[in-house]
Amino acid sequence: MKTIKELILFTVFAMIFCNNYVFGQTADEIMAKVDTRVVPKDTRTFMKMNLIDSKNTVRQKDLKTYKLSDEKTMMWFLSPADVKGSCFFKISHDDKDDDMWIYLPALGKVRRIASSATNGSFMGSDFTYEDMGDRKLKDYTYKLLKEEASSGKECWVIECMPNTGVSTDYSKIISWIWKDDYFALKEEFYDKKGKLKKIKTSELTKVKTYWIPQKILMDDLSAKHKTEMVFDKTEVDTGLDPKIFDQNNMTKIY
Amino acid sequence: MRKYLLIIVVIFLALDAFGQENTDSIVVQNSLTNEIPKSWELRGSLRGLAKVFSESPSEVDLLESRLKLELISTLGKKSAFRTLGYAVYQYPQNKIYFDLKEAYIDYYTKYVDFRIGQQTNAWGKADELNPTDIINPQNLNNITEEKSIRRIGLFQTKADIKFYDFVLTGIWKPVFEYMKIPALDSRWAFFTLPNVKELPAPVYPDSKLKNTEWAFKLSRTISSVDFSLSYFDGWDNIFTPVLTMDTVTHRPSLDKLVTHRTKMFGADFATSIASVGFWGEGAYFLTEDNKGSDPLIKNPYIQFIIGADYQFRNNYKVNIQYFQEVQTKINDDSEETIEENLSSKLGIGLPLKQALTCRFEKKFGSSEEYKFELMGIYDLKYNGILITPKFFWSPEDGFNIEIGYNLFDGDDKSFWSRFQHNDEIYLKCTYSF
Repeated sequence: MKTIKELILFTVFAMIFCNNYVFGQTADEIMAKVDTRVVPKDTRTFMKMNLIDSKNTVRQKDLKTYKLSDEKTMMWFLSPADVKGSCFFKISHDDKDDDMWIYLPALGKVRRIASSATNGSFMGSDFTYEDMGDRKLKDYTYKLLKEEASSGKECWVIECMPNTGVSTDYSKIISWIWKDDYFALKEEFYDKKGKLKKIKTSELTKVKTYWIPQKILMDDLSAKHKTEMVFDKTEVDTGLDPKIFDQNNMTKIY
Repeated sequence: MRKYLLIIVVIFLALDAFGQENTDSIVVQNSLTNEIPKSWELRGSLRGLAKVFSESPSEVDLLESRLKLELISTLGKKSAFRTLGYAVYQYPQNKIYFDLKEAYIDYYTKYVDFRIGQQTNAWGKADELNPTDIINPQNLNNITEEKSIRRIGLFQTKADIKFYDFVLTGIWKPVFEYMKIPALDSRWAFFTLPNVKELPAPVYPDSKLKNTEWAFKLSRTISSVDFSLSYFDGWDNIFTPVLTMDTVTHRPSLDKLVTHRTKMFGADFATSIASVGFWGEGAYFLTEDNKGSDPLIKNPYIQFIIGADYQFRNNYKVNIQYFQEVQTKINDDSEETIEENLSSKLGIGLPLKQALTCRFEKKFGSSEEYKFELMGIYDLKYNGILITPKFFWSPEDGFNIEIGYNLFDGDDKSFWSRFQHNDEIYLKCTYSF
């Protein structure tokens, strides 16, 4: 009898412990794992950026993107013809504003972009430069709201409130974090008045051992305009030379 | 000079040989270009431009068709080729001409990138007014034209040497060309000369190695600050008129137009502090008259510009710059006047001494297909202004329409006041393919 009692007690403790360990993560812990999620050492992909207005008129931009971990990104515009040859280069930092440069062939030189440009639209799309970047973990306060499925995948729903002094377009962001891979499958962006402004949804595909975006849709509800990013020919861990991520190379790739 | 040339060639070859030892990254880097399905590509644009004076609408300033053709080719894993030229028709001059801006070959190694041929090199971090952007002269016949079109392509050889986190750019410019400025009888003439209706052809330096031009630039980014130091040893690209005294009339007459050797020591930086973009660019021009004793040669001078930009929410963008030129070795006002009247001068290319520039931009439309821009250059010293409001519309990808107005005004001594009867409205349509 004593043994059965001990077994029950052990089972209860074990369940409580396991629940805390596996299911009872705090929002901070979850977001820390999102931040340290294993990503490819490098990624090469072609991207179609479809800008869709309220009348379903589509404007398409084609880009080639190179990414070094989550740290450095280079994007070359392949079309339309009037922006072809333009290049965007970003270096992300954890402890300060990201460094960003743009090369426009008509200008003939590389120009640094001020951090205030993160408020602005990325090449006329519904993504701002801020949306294109990774949010810094320390800039937000997190709260686990609930657990629910998004696109059939079990997610934690986490509210991200910007800390005082953080420069952002949004009053809060609600993220659906996929439990299996700590990836934000869906995000709702609220404007400064607390009104839902944009919804971002991502479809993932597995390349080698990584889940990476295959399609990202940003729906700007206030502008009644959408931007769809479709990724094609994605390659990961190709051994890209880090030296490619250099301002000088922005002008080289035609 | 030959000794220096030999040393540079040896250094390049040594670096190149060193670069061959580990070519992995080169192959990767050039695999970028290999991804393009075609090994060559032809692209370009056709631009129609109509400019009409607003004071007399029947008078056309310029009607222009400008066909831009660009041929790009990747020859192999380490080299590329590019040509960029314009076929231009202009009215009322009723002339057709071809302007070859670029025709060069690139050769990449691990540590050095070489470029040889007709090319343009834009230097400086400032917007539009760049004291250090003196590698290529400009065609100032249309001063409101885009700078990339104003720049005159010249044969040059360039090497970008990468070491640690620095890039050392070296340019050798064997071909010298003057800035092109409007004719003296034109409505756009920059200056007048007494008793001179037409300028003679300027005198060019002899084609000797010692007369060629050199430039170096050392660039690096440290802690979110891009900076560079630059040096140029070459010729003033705006001529100096040489006057002689007519022995009969005892009046000065224009003898010839010449250029003088000048050295430039420059520096620039760009950074972002508290979300505001900041930049600065300055240069010291050491002329042949480094003692300030020759009244026909400009004294050494300094040009600098500082600027900032900020993008507000809802796509409002503001860009402000302050420019100044400081003449050195000036003893009195009369000497200053003499110096100012000497046209020979490198740097920004416009005869401004102290100026404030401002650019305001607002993009709108669901896909940002509309843009309004207001640009102004205010001559602080002589109280003159150029204001250009512009409106852009992109009805579809690759097709852009621009309508704008160039307004000139100012006091008599101001450069802009020369054109106060040249206010004009323009329409520009560009189709890119």
